[in-house]
Amino acid sequence: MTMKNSTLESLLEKHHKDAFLWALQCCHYSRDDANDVLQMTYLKIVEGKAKFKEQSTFKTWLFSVIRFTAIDFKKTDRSYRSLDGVEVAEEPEYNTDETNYKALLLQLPERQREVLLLAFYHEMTLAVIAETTGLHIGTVRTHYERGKTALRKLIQTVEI
Amino acid sequence: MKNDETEIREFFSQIRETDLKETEVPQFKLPQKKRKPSVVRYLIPLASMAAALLLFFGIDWSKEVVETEDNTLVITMTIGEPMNTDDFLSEEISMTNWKSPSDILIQEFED
Repeated sequence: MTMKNSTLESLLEKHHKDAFLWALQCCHYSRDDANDVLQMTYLKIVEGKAKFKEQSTFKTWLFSVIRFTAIDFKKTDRSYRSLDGVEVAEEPEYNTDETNYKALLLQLPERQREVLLLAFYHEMTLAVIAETTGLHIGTVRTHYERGKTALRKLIQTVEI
Repeated sequence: MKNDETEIREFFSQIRETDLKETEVPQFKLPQKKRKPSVVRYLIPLASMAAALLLFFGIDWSKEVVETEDNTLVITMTIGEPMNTDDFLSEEISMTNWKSPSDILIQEFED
């Protein structure tokens, strides 16, 4: 069963804000990358390369497409980067200022950060997160628990 | 110490609040569907190539020789006596008639 184009467009518009914020989170808060990823996602949907089969909620499906598009985008972005511009990797110095929540969040491992964002920021259940990320529910639960513990420690470090 | 869930929930609600205030969400705009390349686009060069090949190989470039009266070469062969070298040998040469090339010297000597 395929969805009408007008319905699809109105659903995309409805979730556009959340979709952009999720794309931003998937792209480590790079606004340009998030824009590109979101446009690529929409193009996939418009061209029918990504089809909503109504097996989950529209938001779950859309978030899943955004996540996988962002993963692919990061891979291609890395492969075409000239070595001249690459600096020797150094540990980023995160500002431990209380208000810099995003920097604090970026200190978490990627999977834990994703699971926590989907759970607390986008208010998804663990089962829905498993659908969105394509991970097993047990794996999601593990990342969820470990992420919470790690984040709590980081928050406490900042509070001290 | 706060409940662990509450603490984390507060943390994320603060992020969300900040995002909603500060993050400028770009205007919703669906990208245009890329047009699929038409089959005609590929057919035109193929058809022109095929036509060119047909023209080149289809025409028989070997010209036919048109026979006219002016350029006809007629070779007439008649059956006659076979040519042989008998005529050259028909003259009988006698040994008595033979003269030596130095015969003249002999004659002068005799005089």
